[in-house]
Amino acid sequence: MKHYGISIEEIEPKAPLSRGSTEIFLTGHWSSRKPIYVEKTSPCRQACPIGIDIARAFSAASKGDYDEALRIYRQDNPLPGICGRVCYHPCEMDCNRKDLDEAVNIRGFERFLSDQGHVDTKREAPARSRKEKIAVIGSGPAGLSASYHLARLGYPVTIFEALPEPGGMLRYGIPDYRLPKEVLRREVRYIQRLGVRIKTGVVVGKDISLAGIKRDCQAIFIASGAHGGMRLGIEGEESSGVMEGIRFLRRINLGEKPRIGKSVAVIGGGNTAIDCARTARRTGRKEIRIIYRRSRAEMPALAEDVASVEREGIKIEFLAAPKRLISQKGRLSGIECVRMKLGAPDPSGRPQPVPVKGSEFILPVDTVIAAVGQVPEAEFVSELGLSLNQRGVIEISPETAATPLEGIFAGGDCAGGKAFVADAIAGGKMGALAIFCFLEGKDVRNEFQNHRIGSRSSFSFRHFIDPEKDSVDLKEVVSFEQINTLCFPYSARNHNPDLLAPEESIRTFDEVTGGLARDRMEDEISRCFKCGTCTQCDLCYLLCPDVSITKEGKSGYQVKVDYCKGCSICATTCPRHVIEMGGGR
Amino acid sequence: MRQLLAGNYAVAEAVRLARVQLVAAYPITPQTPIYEKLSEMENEGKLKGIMMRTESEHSAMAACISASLTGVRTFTATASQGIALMHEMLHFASGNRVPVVMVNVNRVLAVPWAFGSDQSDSLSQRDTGWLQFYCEDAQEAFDTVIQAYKIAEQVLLPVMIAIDGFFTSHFIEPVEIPDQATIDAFLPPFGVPTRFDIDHPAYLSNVVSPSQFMQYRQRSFEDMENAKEVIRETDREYRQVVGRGYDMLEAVDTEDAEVVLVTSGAMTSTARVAIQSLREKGYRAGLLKMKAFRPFPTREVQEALKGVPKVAVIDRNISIGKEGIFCQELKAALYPLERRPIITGYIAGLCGADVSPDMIEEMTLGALRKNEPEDLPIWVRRD
Repeated sequence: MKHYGISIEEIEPKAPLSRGSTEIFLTGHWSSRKPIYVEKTSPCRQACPIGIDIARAFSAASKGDYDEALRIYRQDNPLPGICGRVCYHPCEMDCNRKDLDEAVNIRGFERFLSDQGHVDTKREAPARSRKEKIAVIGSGPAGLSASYHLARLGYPVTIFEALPEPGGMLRYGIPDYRLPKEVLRREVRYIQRLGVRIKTGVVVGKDISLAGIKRDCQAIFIASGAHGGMRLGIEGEESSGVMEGIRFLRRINLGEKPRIGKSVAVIGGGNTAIDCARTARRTGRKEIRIIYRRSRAEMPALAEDVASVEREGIKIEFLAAPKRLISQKGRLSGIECVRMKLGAPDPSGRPQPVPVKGSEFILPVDTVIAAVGQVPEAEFVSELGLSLNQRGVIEISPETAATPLEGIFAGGDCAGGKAFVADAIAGGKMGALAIFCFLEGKDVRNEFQNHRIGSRSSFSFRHFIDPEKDSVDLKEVVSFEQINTLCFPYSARNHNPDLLAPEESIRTFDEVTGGLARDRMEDEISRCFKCGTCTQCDLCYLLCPDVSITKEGKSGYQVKVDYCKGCSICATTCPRHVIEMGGGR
Repeated sequence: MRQLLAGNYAVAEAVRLARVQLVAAYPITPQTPIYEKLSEMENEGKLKGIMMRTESEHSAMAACISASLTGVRTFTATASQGIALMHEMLHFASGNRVPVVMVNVNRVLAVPWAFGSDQSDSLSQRDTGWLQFYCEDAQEAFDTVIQAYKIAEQVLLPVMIAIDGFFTSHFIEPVEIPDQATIDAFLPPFGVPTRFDIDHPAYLSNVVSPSQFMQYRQRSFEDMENAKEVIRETDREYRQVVGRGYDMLEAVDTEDAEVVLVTSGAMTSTARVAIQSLREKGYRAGLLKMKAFRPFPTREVQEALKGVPKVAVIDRNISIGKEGIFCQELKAALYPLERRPIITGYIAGLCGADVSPDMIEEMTLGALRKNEPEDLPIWVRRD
């Protein structure tokens, strides 16, 4: 048989083969379009009143760096353990993933970071200290947030708190089964470690005068909250057996045992009403009902909290409003209600409840808890000549957090902010920015616009402190259409588990909802698109047909414009819309 | 072992016995049964190689080229629009000197859309630098695939084997399939080394200067010419080991012929009957079957037709603006002869139209009666 087989030396003269480099061909000169890497803003961040860089934190966590993720959270929010439990999570409502399957469990993530991550307060401490003294009145979420940010800017801050422990509504309004006290204490400790002094049991206007504080300090931030209950304004409200919901919760949180009867009606549809009902249930009362004048869809309380109420055997009487309280022998014996129907929308957009004539009915109850709204108790400001509006709210300019008096700022519930924890924290953050600008002679309106996130009401503290280091485009918010969903298989959301069955949960004030286990959390982290944040996934680097994308260390990717032909495969493939095509070289 | 097989299945058997390591293909009528049979064999574990289902014929050929460059034996099959889509990669295959073997099941090219046998698809690829063999029946298709690997891997040029759509591809005929040991004795394992060396990175299909380009083309041209000797030698070996063989062309009763009919592909079988009938009627008719088209067996054609006064060529293809392609090539091959025959070209059987023995007899006699050569082909069809 003839020789069979051929050597590479025999092939080479027959077929072209080059061991030279193609680098002499600057094929990139043919195109006028090049990829540009710009990190953008995620819709969850825009939706968050506090402006937390959620996508970037998820990105850090996806690499296993939970401490870094927590550090990112704490750049804007000093209370992640609290928000991770009780926040109304507007972030999840705007999560891009909801358009694929279900929103990412962002609140569960925040809780996980706070419970599992390590806080290095040394890294959070200010680089320089400033001399201007600042007083904060009230240690609720707004006051704590303002103090934290001011302390990080280097100011000596003192908080005056009327109640025995810091936390405001977090301490005296939210029951233990939703927010264990230890979580609050932990997060307050971190704030104290930054040098913030908290003077508890000091009532401003009584133990210390506001004028005196003003003499000692260069700026004051008032965040005294809204601890007064609103009245029902109906006949019989003076009888015994009627109490304000917010007082009821405070007394429980003080360890007292307020006297309530066997049959309890809670009036209202907000979180306070829900908490009053669940708290009453935990004191052993079986007959508890919530009376709400609109329908389920209009309830201000979170749907998941409404669901827990019902699981715990509490009935909700929808479309009913109290008309009169009935007493027998000086004791409350019943409540006369009238049926409502939904009418035209009111200024807030919710349908107005309209009474149905002749539909009155009487419920036999011996206790009524009124949870129909809260008002500030901020009369102490009149000492300096500040006036309150009709609702008892300190009037501020919403853009500057400033009161008419120079150096005095306010935020949170006492200044008419939205009555959620996250909004109060946002109010404190805004107050800190306003006080810094006041003391440094800057225009707070400009600063806010420069560091504003998207088109909503939050701004980035990280960007404010060092815009050079923070190259994120805060104005461009990534939409669902810009996500390459081919990179994300469908997967179900990981919900936080219930720690206790309903029949167990009503016997104790122990926390009902648990944290996510690590493996479930990891799954949830992988579900997050990380919209606009480069996770260094390498898709662009691997798929570039011209091998024109290089990467060096952690700094990211570089485009060799001399070779990139502008095909835009990288931009089309980028799972999270970090890469865009731009004109010119 | 003798089996009843359609031509497509005979091809698949040859691919299996050749121990092909990579098949990359895309289905297209009338080639699809090859694809299906190889898939079935892969599924049953009979085909040891990998079967790649590509998204197009262009990709199928690109995959065969790439795999071949890494030192493995490759196969693909296609037809009609498929080979047209593959066109660019056919040049890449020959230019990179990869011994890919492909079966093209001749089918007419659109438009109008149709399915019958027609050599225009493979003949359109005449100048892509591939060897081309046209087979008469399923047995020849089987044997030629086996031989093609041995030829391609020595000359380092790709080989295309054409069989007539439906006539050969789908008709069931007795086919002798040798056992694996026999084929192994004839065809050694793939002997071309990988072109890729991780320690000495290089790239292929690179840019060259005009003079380098001409050098490469000239090498390919010379190697295609030298392939003739390799084809002859391979056929001799095949006859020794397997017991059958085919020359680049086959001449039947041409020595004393007053007229010789030239055919290719499946039509040849019909022509054999027609020629025999003419002989019985007293005409000195002969037959020349063209198997190798590239390289073109110029000397062999001259040898077979020198002294023949009249020649009829039937083409199942048409080069619009000239004539049938085999006729055209034949005329060019015979031009150097001192006494050239009078050649009459016929166009018949396009798109698988019937070409019956009596039509062939008429065409042969028509050529015999011609005393002047005609420039244009004669169209023969029964509507």
